[in-house]
Amino acid sequence: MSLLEVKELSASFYTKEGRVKAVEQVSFCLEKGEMLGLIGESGCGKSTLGLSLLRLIEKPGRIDAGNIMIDGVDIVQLKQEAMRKVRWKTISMIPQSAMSALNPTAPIGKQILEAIELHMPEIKKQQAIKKVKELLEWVGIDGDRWLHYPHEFSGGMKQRVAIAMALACDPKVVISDEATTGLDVLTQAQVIHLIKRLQAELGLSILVISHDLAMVTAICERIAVMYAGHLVEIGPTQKILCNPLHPYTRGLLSSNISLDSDGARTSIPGSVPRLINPPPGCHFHPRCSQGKDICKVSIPRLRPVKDNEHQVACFFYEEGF
Amino acid sequence: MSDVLFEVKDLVMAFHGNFNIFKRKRRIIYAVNKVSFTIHKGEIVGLIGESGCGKTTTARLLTRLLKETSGDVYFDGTNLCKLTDTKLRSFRKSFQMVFQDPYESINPNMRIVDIIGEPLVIHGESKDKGAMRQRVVTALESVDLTPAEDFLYRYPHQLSGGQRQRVVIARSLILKPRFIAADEPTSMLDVSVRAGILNLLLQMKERLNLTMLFITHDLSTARYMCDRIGVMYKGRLVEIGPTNQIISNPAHPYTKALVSVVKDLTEFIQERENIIKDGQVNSYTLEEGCIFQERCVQCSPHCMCVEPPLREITDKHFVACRC
Repeated sequence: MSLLEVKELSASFYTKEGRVKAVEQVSFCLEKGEMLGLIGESGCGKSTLGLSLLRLIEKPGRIDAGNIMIDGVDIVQLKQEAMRKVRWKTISMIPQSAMSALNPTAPIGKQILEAIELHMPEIKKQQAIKKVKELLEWVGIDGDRWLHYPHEFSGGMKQRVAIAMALACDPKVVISDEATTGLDVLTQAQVIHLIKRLQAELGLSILVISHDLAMVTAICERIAVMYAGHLVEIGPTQKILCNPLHPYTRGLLSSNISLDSDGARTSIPGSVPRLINPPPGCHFHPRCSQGKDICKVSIPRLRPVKDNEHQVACFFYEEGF
Repeated sequence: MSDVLFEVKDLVMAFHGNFNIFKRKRRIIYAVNKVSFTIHKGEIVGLIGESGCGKTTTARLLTRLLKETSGDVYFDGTNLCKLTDTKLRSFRKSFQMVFQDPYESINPNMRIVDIIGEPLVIHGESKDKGAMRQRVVTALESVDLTPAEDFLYRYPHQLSGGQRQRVVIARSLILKPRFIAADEPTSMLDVSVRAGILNLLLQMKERLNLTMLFITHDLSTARYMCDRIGVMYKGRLVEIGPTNQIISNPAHPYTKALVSVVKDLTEFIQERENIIKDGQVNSYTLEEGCIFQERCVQCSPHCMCVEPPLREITDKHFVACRC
């Protein structure tokens, strides 16, 4: 059984203009010790999916349907109080921008300490402080700096503090939401290296949410591609890179500019649909070159192609198409 | 006739830091420090570097949106720094800028037709309303916003990010400039539409015989677009040369690190200690020696005292390092 299993999860925001279906019937699983990359463009619902996994979506948003099973427990059904015990200890998050995620008026060590004291009351204060220093050392910050304030650290180091904080209560699953966005390339590489190292050392399962294809392919074993609220393709990194099946994934790969890509790059025509009023049928059909009539009416489901590992949501790969 | 369009000589831009009552002197930050380079006609020169290294400030100095602290900028032989504001005005038509964020660089209260037509109004080319509208339509068509009539009377919020950036490009091209400074024109856009904007800029460059300064923090994009690449670090130009040279033969340790991180992230992560040090010291205040000394793996005592000048190592490939 997988450590984290998401089944048919849907989440929407109920705004004045209407219902925004940010996540629609998403299913995937995350094994123990695995790194799964979740890529997609801005506004496709990646972050909403990440927040749903922690049940942190705030009004006007909410989880409409589906299950999130962690270690056999469905956290969607849990009461708020019980959910609070699951956060940090079982599942935690590295937030998008550490610069604004840290409290500027409190020393970083105290902020980590607070999390430990609240979630692991059995640990004595002295022990907890020792743990904070240890955590900081883990992420490459001098443990004696635990009483320093956020402004005394650079962007990359603040991001490391955020990582240390996510690991404070020994979680099993970590969600990294664009943890390296906004850092310059060299710092980015260091933070990625750190996440990869910790994952290997601690046997963590990490969901890496990012729009950066190069970074995700460098560290994740599997990749999931999201478009307009739907998971459109999921599979092992190599297979996605060498043999992308969904037209959107193919478009994304051919518009990606890399150092050794020769020849002209093409972008996908059109633009990302607004989720408040998505096109009927397959959400990608207005931009798809292979679109047929059926794409305009019904939504394709994620189905395995050839083997169970590689799944794609496109009618093109279904029998009789 | 020389084929040099822009010549920049020892350009310096100093910003004063915040006033601090505990210090007698205000801190001075050199955003651009003794930068010299040339841009030839019909060429795309890229500027890359981390955020805050002075790329945008350089572009703003070239397009005269900022006034330099010292140094000279020659445009087709004329020293722009010595011109009065009135004289400069007639020159402004010839160089335009494409800004980074299309959500902020166009006025949300104006219709597309007014946004694109505004440069014509400012430069007194709006006498004939019909002709002006026609020029706006042509501009919209040239950036593939067709049918143009559909877009004329829309407001910016009705357009997507990619379309807005096309409007910004149309606006910058309507005066038929000879030079465009594009400041990270794709960094705020979705990945799937980025290539479209880059291809549009390349097309425009061919069609209108433009010269371009292309600013980016992404080496891959720079390689896709540029004939030559300049690398900036903390206000200095540390390396400049033909794109192929920079990518296959980087000379400055900082460029080497940038190339290796983009070439193979996995390898860079393993070899990191041999490529670059984790330096987070604020080198803007550094008084002596090479700007890169704190992060350089080859730093020698000499580097800490003497600042290396930009020197030519192979044909047209300049580097500011003793290596």
